[in-house]
Amino acid sequence: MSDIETYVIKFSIYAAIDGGLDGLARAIHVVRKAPIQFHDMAVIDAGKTKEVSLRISGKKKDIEWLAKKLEKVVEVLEVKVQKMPSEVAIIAAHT
Amino acid sequence: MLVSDALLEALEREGLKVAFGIPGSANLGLYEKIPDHNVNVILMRHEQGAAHAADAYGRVKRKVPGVAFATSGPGATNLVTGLATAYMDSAPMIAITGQVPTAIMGRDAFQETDVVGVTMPITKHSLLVRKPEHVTWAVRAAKVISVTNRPGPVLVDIPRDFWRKDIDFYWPSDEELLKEWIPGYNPTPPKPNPSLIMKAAKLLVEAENPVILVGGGVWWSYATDEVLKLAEILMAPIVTTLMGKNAVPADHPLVLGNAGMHGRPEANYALYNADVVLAIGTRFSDRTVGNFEEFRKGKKIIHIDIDKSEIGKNIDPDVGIVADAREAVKVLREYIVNALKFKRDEEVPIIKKAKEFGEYAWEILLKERGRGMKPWKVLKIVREELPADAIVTTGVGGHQMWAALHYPVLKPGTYLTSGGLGTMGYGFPAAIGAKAAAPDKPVLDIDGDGSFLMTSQNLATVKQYGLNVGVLIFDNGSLQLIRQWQDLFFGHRRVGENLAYLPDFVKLANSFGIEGVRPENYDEMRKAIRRVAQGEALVIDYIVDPDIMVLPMVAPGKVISPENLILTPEQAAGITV
Ligand SMILES: Cc1ncc(C[n+]2csc(CCOP(=O)(O)OP(=O)(O)O)c2C)c(N)n1
Ligand SMILES: [Mg+2]
Repeated sequence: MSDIETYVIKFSIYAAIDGGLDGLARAIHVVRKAPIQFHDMAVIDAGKTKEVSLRISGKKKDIEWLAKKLEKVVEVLEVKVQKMPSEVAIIAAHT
Repeated sequence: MLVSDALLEALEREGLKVAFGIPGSANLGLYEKIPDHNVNVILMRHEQGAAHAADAYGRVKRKVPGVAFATSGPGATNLVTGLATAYMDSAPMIAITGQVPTAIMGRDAFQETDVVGVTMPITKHSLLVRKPEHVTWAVRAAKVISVTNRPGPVLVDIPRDFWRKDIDFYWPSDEELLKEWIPGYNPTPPKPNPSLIMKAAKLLVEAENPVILVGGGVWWSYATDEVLKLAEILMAPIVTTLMGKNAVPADHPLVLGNAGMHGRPEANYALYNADVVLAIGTRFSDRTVGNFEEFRKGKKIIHIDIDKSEIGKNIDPDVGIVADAREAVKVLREYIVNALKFKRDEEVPIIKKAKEFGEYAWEILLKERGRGMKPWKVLKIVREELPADAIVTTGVGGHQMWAALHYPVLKPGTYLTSGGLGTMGYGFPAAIGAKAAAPDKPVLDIDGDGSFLMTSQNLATVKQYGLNVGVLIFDNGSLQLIRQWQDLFFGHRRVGENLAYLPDFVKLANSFGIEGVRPENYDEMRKAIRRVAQGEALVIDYIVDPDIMVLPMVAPGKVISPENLILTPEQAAGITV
């Protein structure tokens, strides 16, 4: 069995000063270099913050490491990692 | 107040009174106001040098980052290598760049580059000031971010139409800054977790051969004394990474020196054969342990780091403690002494074995080989002649590895080298930055001919500002370390390593009004180094045989075990990488 699983990382970006694009770009730079597979991403405007959810697959260890790296981004406020049930991941991948 | 005045006032208030840079149209509005402020601007001859000088200034001062000024476009992009260098070695610095005016931004204006975008992955933080009144907030944020927690470089980009805008000067308090401007940034590291400290303590007292691996973080968190105290309780050896060499005094009886690809044999022996490794403020670079999986075998590892993303990144520890190094080591020692009532009276057995192995290896390594003055003998003279608190910087290459092996650091904070990025050209401008930070100390750049050529135009800066530093050039007419790799691992095919048509370095120095010498024997070398020790600016052209390989060496990808140490060129035959 492969140890690759799908996860959602949710994080907030502080956007009150500059609208949040720089923080988002910096976060994407971090994701680009992580040993994971990127599926998709959604960004929602929540006023002072932008709420990001990132759907990715990878080893638990690498996903957790990515979450820690994201927390280091100055604009990033809070990071949560959720494992996606595989059925949901399959549906998400086929819709 | 004008934005330019506000920025300079902010620098003054933050104690950032030295800046290295080059002006251009996007920051002339800033330069215009410099004479009205207590900010000293040093003209470098290339912005890469400005960044390295600022980085070195921060490495020496620790809580006061150096500042680099550059104009937009090419000025800003010339800083990139310096920012990446500082980032990899966690050195605090602040780059302040001019940007094209807001009205034409994004339209490929003259000298426009998106330097905030360019530097995102190689800075701790970078930001564009979007409103004139934000300038004081931006400087305050840059200072806090650069020096707290794990230090690093920060870039602040300011559109040039802002310089002459009139604003009300506002100085945000620390609380306002953290709450309203950078709420996602935590300047204070977490306290060490007590149960993890207990676990670590238990491992250390039960170990037969515990070894302490010190990284650059020990310097950044002022942890030197705590680490030495802990080592003395455990009677355990200290080995260092290349960056950690700057963090502990080499003449302490428990310090075995730096481990790694070109580490000292006794240090590699101890680190490899330890049963428990206490790693402090290091990211376990591949250059330190060689091969993560092989290194990990048969050991328990305790890893203390301020950056939680470093724990488990390269090596999965048995105990990972996220905390400030000084704090964690202090608590750990107190627990070992007070709760476990533990103190070893005799050195752990591995020290004797490591030293015996070292003696065996050094006897082979220090046999006469090659023509002319030997690097290890020259560096011995350097150490003898420089006072303990002199600052040494290095370029990157064979000479850097020779210095790592044979120049013992006696006072922490006096050895600046580009470890993480391995940036040729770092040494000389770093020496200038170090001299600006510590004008009373002699400063010597131990450089390569190739490395020095990359940033030697800053000889003019040395002369102009009387920033007297010495340069000891390992003049081997070669990119020697490249030649060595080609000889050892790439079929002896020497391609692109021959530095034909080098300048006469003595004449080069003279042409900038700086003295140069070419010592022909050890006595003359000693006299030359003595002049640097006395504070003269001097270029010393040390002619060295390019075929004297830097040894010992561990081939890339191989673990730092005694069997893998290459002690003679013949021993390397047949190794594939
Ligand atoms: C900017 C940069 N370019 C290329 C390299 C790759 N490199 C590593 S060591 C080295 C040779 C350095 O030559 P020199 O400064 O003369 O030192 P030596 O090895 O001869 O002592 C090179 C080219 C590097 N580290 N940095
Ligand atoms: Mg050379």
